[in-house]
Amino acid sequence: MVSREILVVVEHRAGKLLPVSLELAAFGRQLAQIAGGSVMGVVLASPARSVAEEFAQSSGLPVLALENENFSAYNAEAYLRALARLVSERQPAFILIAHTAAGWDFAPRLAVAVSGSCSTGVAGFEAGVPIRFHRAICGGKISTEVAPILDTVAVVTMMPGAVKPTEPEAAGAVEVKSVEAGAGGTRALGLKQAPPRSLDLSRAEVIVAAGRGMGGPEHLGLIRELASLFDRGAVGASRPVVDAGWLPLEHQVGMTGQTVAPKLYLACGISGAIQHTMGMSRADLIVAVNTDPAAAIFSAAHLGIVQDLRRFLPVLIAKLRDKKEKKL
Amino acid sequence: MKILVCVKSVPDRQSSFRVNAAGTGYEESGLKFGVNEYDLFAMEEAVRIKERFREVEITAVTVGPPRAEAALRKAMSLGAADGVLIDDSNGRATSALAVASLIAAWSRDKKFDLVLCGVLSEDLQRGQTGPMLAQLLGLPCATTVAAEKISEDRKSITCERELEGGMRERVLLPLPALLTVQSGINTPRYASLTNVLRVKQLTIPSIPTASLGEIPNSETTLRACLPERSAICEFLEGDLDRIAEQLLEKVRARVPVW
Ligand SMILES: Cc1cc2nc3c(=O)[nH]c(=O)nc-3n(C[C@H](O)[C@H](O)[C@H](O)COP(=O)(O)OP(=O)(O)OC[C@H]3O[C@@H](n4cnc5c(N)ncnc54)[C@H](O)[C@@H]3O)c2cc1C
Repeated sequence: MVSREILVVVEHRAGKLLPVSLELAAFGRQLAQIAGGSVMGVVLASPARSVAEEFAQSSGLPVLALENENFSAYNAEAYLRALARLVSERQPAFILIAHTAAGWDFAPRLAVAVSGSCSTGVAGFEAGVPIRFHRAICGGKISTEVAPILDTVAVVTMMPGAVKPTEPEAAGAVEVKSVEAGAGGTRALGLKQAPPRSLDLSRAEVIVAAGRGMGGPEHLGLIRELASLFDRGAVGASRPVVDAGWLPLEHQVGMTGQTVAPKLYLACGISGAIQHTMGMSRADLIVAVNTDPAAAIFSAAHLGIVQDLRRFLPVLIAKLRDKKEKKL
Repeated sequence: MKILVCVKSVPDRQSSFRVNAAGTGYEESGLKFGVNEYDLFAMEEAVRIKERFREVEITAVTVGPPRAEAALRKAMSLGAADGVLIDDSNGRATSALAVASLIAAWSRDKKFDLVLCGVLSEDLQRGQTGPMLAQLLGLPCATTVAAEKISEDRKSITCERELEGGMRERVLLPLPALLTVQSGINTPRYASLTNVLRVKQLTIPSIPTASLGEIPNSETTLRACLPERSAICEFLEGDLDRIAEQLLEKVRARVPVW
């Protein structure tokens, strides 16, 4: 029996390949070693050739580039039409998509459109029959293994950062094809850049980040004070802290905030949701303070402190201040 | 205008989770349940639309066991006129496709102009139910919506979708449509005590899943377990003073930042 193909949907924005696409390519290759079948990149763009060539070169995978004017910006309806047709023509075993704002928008709909299985936000897989995908639930407090249930295509979205890109041997071949892809009444109206920020967290050497566990804006003084004790210290925040208006957006770290890599990241009252940790996991040293010993943040941290922040931070601040005064 | 808000009853985030006897999910007994936070943002957005346009009727629906009724009462205390429980007492709706199919079967002939869901559920975090429901109902859809505006003629809706890094993407959808609502789109209000007491009295209609046709599934969970404790994390112990001392020593040794 010939193994069926694995398709990888390439993600790009404003004519540029996004790095997650190369992680997807590596994920596709790993999956092919277990499940068999060849891996092919699919680009939906207008124009498509330059993105397709860039991907073929940096991933080493062959690419089928589909062109339609509705692909000049991400358009869910147009994507769905084109991909559903492609799936019915090629009958792939897997269609791999990045778990990003674009990916999670069309992947579940595509699964319904092609009567496929659907697993989202997967972080890896377990070889075997059936293949099991790893995904975290309950804020990372439980790990699960899920499997496709239908023998049609399995639509899978992969968490960015789950797999390391590999070096290609040689560029893959590129085929560009123009296709039909109506968008119904859905219209892309363009991108809106993030508001300019006066705080560039990427320049900070130390980030003291506040989570919902701080309990309220009235306790953020502790975070500010601690951050101010470092020469290049800054205040970071998890999303709920920003959503609730305790701190402005420019402090937010994570998927929809800034990605940072300071020397020291001190996570205070942050549970460790993947959307947060993907923005700070590259810090040299991660310290987490949390009352819940089962919090997922302790899987990302190097040093863990199971304590109430409001009792611990004042002690830490006093001690650090003392050391600095005595030049210890 | 008719708005449907889909809500889910989920365990408190702070719970200590255990694996269930079947080894395929978390054990529900002993947990405290509330409304999925993202759904509260969706509910608030529905109420704001109702304040802007007159003659808006909001219905809340949930798929779950009878305890999920509490989520409907919460939505009703916040402004939904009706709540409907699709009673899945026997727990057959295990995948997002199953939940979406049940809601689709129940809502298909009800002509909602707008369907709002949360971006994802706090417990399973699949983010599939909303977009799958849109597809099953043949509705255009936008996920992770951080701002929306319905046109004066009520024929279309302009949404801002949140992208990575704080960027946004604007998209126009014809109505009827389905949106999944992101946290931070608004500040959800608290229900008034009068409303909380009023909805306590109401009977909530419950619809057995058996009356809604076949329940297809799109995924199966084969195993659930507690994650392995990270080998890299060293826990500092002792009294507060001792912990602070150790922490500063260790930080200083690894990254000299002061
Ligand atoms: C599409 C999408 C994008 C997202 N983007 C981001 C993003 O960019 N950044 C981000 O942060 N999140 C993001 N999120 C949200 C993310 O999923 C989590 O909900 C969020 O990170 C949780 O924030 P938190 O840890 O502060 O709050 P919680 O999860 O509520 O955790 C609070 C923690 O504080 C602890 N705590 C409570 N009291 C105390 C105390 N007194 N002392 C010590 N500890 C205490 C608790 O044990 C708990 O672990 C996104 C979600 C989605 C769906």
